[in-house]
Amino acid sequence: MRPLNLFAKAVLTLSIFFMSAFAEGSFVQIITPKENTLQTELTLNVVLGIDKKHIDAVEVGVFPDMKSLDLSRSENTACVNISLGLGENRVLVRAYKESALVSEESRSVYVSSQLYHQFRYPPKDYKKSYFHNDENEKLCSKCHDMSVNEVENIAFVDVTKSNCYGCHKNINREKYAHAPSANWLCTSCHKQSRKGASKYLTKEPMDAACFECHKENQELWSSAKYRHEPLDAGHCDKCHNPHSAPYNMFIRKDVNEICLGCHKDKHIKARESKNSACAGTSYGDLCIECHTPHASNRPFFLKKRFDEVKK
Amino acid sequence: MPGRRVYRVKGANLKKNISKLLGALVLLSIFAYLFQTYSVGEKFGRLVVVVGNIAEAMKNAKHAYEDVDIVISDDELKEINISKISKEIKSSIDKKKELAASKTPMAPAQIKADEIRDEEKPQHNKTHPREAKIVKLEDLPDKFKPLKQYLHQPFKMGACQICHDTSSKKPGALVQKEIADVCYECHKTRYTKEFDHLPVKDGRCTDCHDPHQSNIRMLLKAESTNDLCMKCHDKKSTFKAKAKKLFVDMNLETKHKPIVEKSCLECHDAHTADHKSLLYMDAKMDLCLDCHDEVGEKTAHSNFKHGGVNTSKKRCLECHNPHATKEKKLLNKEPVALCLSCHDKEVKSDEDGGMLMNMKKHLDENPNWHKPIKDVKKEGGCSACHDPHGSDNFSILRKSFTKNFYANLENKDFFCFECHSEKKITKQFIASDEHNITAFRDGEVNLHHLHVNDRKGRSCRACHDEHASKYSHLIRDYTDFNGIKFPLRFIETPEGGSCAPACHKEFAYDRVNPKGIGK
Repeated sequence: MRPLNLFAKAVLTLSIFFMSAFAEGSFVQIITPKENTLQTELTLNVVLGIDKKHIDAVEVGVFPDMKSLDLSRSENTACVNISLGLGENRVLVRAYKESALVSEESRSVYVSSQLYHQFRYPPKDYKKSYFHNDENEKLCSKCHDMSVNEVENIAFVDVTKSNCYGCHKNINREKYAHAPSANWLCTSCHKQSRKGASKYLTKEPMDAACFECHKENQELWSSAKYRHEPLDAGHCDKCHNPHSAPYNMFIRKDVNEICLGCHKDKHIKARESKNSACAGTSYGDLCIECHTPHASNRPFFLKKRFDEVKK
Repeated sequence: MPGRRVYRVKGANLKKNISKLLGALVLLSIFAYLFQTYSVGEKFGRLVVVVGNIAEAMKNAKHAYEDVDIVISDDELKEINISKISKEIKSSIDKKKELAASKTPMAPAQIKADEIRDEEKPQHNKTHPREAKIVKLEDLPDKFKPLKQYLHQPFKMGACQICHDTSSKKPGALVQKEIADVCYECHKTRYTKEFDHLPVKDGRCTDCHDPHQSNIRMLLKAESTNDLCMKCHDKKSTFKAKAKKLFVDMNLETKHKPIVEKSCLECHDAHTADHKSLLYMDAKMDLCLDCHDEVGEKTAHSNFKHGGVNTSKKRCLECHNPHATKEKKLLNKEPVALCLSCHDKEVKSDEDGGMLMNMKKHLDENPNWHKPIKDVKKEGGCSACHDPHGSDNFSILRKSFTKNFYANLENKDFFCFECHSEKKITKQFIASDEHNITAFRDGEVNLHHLHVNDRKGRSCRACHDEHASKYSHLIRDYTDFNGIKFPLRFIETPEGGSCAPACHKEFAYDRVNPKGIGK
């Protein structure tokens, strides 16, 4: 190959690369989330860079549930909070000019859950991504106050005054909201900072944060003979949502559903076995009528003595 | 240079010193060489070290060979001079001083009666009492008539000459110059305790006592003991010997019982005492507890003590006036104002070492006050709930009250029901004719019952501030739960209101159009 030919080819490929980058990147650009993001919450903030000269409308969401964006503001960045489902979500960003689709971008986001077998183990290429680092915050600080404005141990009288509220308000949308969360005392739990990740992480395992307030429970459970595995491992959030949940005690699902998410096979076996205490029960009976979900001095986490339960 | 003197210290003879040094050096070197056990190198080395040492010594002691100017201040000079005085001279000076001191006459109050020897006893100048000319009572001058109840013994005897110099032309002239000296001649118990009454100290016995006669015991110059004291210790007094400070206002409403029923001498000694203010015992507490022993028992032995009486400077007198005040219980100020004179800042608690809140600031910031604080005269102020002398309940409360957020009514740990009706929380539903029991209801559903007496009991203090609040019904702005302050977000409406605390989401209630709470 002659050198001139090589040079020409190089120039050509470079120009094509820049042009394509300009052509696509200039319309709409997804700043977060990153591709193959892994998370546990069912809400997501999408941050976009928008070129308002070439587009006049943007839609964001998981198809078919698309949200249109308000472009009246002068900034070139925009953010929107969308709802996700468990498992894999394809987040679409569609840009329009005069009702014609100009560009379409997408990101894959996986919502995992410890309570479902099928969503417990996400595909390998998904990775947890963190937003609150200085670089990202700088981008947002044009519109948002990114500082923490809560006073330690004093809750907001008007929670909408919290700087966290604006972007994270959906975290408390469920019926039962946990007091520190509903009062936006975020940093009482999210106080761990890790370089390269986020400023507002929770210490792992997270039970330390829970027991800061629920001391009595800790004393009671730590002295018990048997402890339920999630409690022993410090994963209170496996069953409880520390922010808000549709069920009482902030549990993520209906009581029995939570139990059977892990203990389904055993339960069926127990009910069929004649010697089991569960033998007489039907599917609708609550597990927690006989079992305690945290810790007990009796085997099988029974609340009463075995023969008493059997009656 | 004022206050300073320059001294020139002559230098030692330099040449003489150097020759001495050189001689020593030669001797040393010979000595070293004579020491055969060392090798030549070592000998030389040692010589060098010796010479070096001598040179260094000369260098350091340079001033010894030169004239030096020394500046000494006068004060320093005195010290130097004194230190130079030989012991003999010093001891002779001391003796002289002692002699001089023994000659100076001591104040009469400071000489003990039994120390006065017979030869030092002041003698009567002219006549001896036994030889005195007796004046009959009938022959006394008219100004002494009619005679009063109590008569001074010499006066009764008609032995005027004991005190008066009858040979003098001046009428009433005394045998001695000072009145006190005349008195002390017979009344030998002079006053020798730490504190003296000023007239005693000055020898003005006749300021209080009449030397001839009186209608009051002890020949006092007044209608009663108290009147005598108040002659000087009343601010409005026109008496010439009026006290300069130490005024007692006895015109105030509340007076200390002993002063009214007995006299000032219940606590004070008229002449001399070992305790300040001429008191028989320490004024701060001991004297008070001599009578008020039940308070002493309480202050000393209660589980929770009030720093105001237990660790303060003035103890009882921090709050009480021992004579008379405008307020009840002889308080220095109006009850609440008195408490706030200390609690106008964060005060360290004796209970747990924590800081007690700045109550003055709290009351200033929150306009709605609890009735005992608001209506001080009727309800008694802070001491309606707190016992200022100490209590077995925390926060020196008069009755026990739970410290916990969650509390069941069965514990009876609710001090509040001493004044407030217990029906407020025991009745689940409130019929239309009982509406005065509580206004915190949704229709007929008693929300007090729901909060305090239903499934989980809560302390009244979960929602109410026992002192003051910005909101009506003393609703708190923040409730403390696990060390975190959560706002109650109470909003009042004409017939109800709403709350959005940490405990639950925003719930509204209405007395007329029920919102359906508790169903």
